[in-house]
Amino acid sequence: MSHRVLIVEDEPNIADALRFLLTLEGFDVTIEGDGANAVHQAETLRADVVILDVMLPNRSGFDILRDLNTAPAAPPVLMLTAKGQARDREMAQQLGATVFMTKPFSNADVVSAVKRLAGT
Amino acid sequence: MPRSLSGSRIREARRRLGLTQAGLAKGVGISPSYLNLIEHNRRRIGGALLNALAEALEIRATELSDGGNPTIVPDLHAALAEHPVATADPRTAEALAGRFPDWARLILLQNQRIRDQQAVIAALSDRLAHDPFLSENVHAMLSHITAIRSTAGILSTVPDVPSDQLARFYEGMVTESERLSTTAQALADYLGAAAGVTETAATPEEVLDHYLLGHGYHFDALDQPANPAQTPDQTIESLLAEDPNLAPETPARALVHAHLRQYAQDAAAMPLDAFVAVARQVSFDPTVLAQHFDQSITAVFRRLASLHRPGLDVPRFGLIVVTVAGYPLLRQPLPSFPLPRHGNACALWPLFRGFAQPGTPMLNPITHDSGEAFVTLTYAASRQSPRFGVAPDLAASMLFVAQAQSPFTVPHAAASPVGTSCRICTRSDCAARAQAQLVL
Repeated sequence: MSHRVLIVEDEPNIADALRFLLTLEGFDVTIEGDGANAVHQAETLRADVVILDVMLPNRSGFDILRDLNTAPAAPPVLMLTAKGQARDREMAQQLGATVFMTKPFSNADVVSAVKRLAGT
Repeated sequence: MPRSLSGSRIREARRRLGLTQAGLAKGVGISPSYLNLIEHNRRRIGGALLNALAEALEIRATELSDGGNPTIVPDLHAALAEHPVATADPRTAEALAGRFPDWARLILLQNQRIRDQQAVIAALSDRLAHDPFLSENVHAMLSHITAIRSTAGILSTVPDVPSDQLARFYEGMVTESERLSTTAQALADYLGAAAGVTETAATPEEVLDHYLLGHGYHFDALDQPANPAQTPDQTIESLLAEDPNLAPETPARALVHAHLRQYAQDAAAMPLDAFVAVARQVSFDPTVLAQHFDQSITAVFRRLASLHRPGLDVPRFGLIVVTVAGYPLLRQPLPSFPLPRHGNACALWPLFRGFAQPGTPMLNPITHDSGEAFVTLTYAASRQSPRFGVAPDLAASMLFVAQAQSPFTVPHAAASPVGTSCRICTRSDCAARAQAQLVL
């Protein structure tokens, strides 16, 4: 059974590229563009890895991260942001992000990080 | 007891006028040798001789007496305190001011310039950190670039992309390229790069901010007119005409004009010298000052915030006035207490509690996210006269001063922790946080 990846990203072209890359690697990918639905989606899908943008409609990625990490079996989270200052990285780490990457990222780095988080 | 330095001041003043010792001595009816002893601080003088020398030297007697330059010495101490690495001995400040008053003034002038430049840096930093247009556009550009880079990476490394996906990628590349161009152009226009202009104020409110900052938040021409025959309106017109950024019929000019009119009214109702004298007597208490000058507390706040200037030993106050919606009507930041321009201020400021109790002056100690302690005075009131059936248009004002300079007696209450605004505040555990920390 392939590992499930939830991409929480409101930019459709970024989400589409990530889906294509991860599907090529055998992941089962779902895209969610609305921050308000992200936690519910992650729980429903029982996502193995969540790729999470910081700036989203209706809900901040940091708030989503905080909620995701209250679950007993919280999925590992790869945090993506266009603002890569040390404070953001610090906050993401405090809230439990497993990996933090800044946009623009390299495809190889994202794929490699997701594989590592999924344990493949 | 420190040695009298009147003689040094007399010598400096005599040399400035190009007088000889013999000439000055003759003019005031004493011997040149006696004047020589005086100038070398070996004879104390006062009374009629001091007045005669002052008259001959075309300066005020108080400038020659040992109580002369009363504001320079405290200002020198303040300048020293602002530069902890300086090793000057504060006990020598009086000697410096007495023997070399012009050099002492130069030090103060340079210190004021440093403060002003710090204020400019704080304002620019504030703009970068808070301007939603800049923040959103930089974020948008990075998102467009990410989409293009990621898609281009796929197209260059994956050989067999299905045709329908390939078409989506090409379409996405075109869309993101167009959006990137539009965003970049908007950003360039906003920063003035496209037009090649150097003025960075983008709105009339920013022009007002720049104008007030450039004038140090005070206007000597309105406080102490050089030509008493000129009306305040004429003085205001002259001030406006001096600034090339305030073209006639522009919104910025109207805004600055309204501010100067208000300033002129405050200056007329609370003349500078009298206001400072009373303020010192009453420990700068705005409620007492309001009663004394028959002015509103809001007007007294404005007047207190305008006092700081070279040569006047008063605390340096910051001021912000906002509408109920939090929109700033007037901003006067301090170097260590920047104020957001666009209304997304820290909700924990005592300023906002003022709206819950209009007409009640409040005094609160706070600790800013920068680590510095301040004392705040808040007062909210209607901007118009009350009318039945009409909801009051409230504005709240917050006057603030570094605790180290504060003339106010602070109640034994714990200082509330505050920031400037959520986006640049490091208090990650703050219950009042409304926005994530997102700093450019």
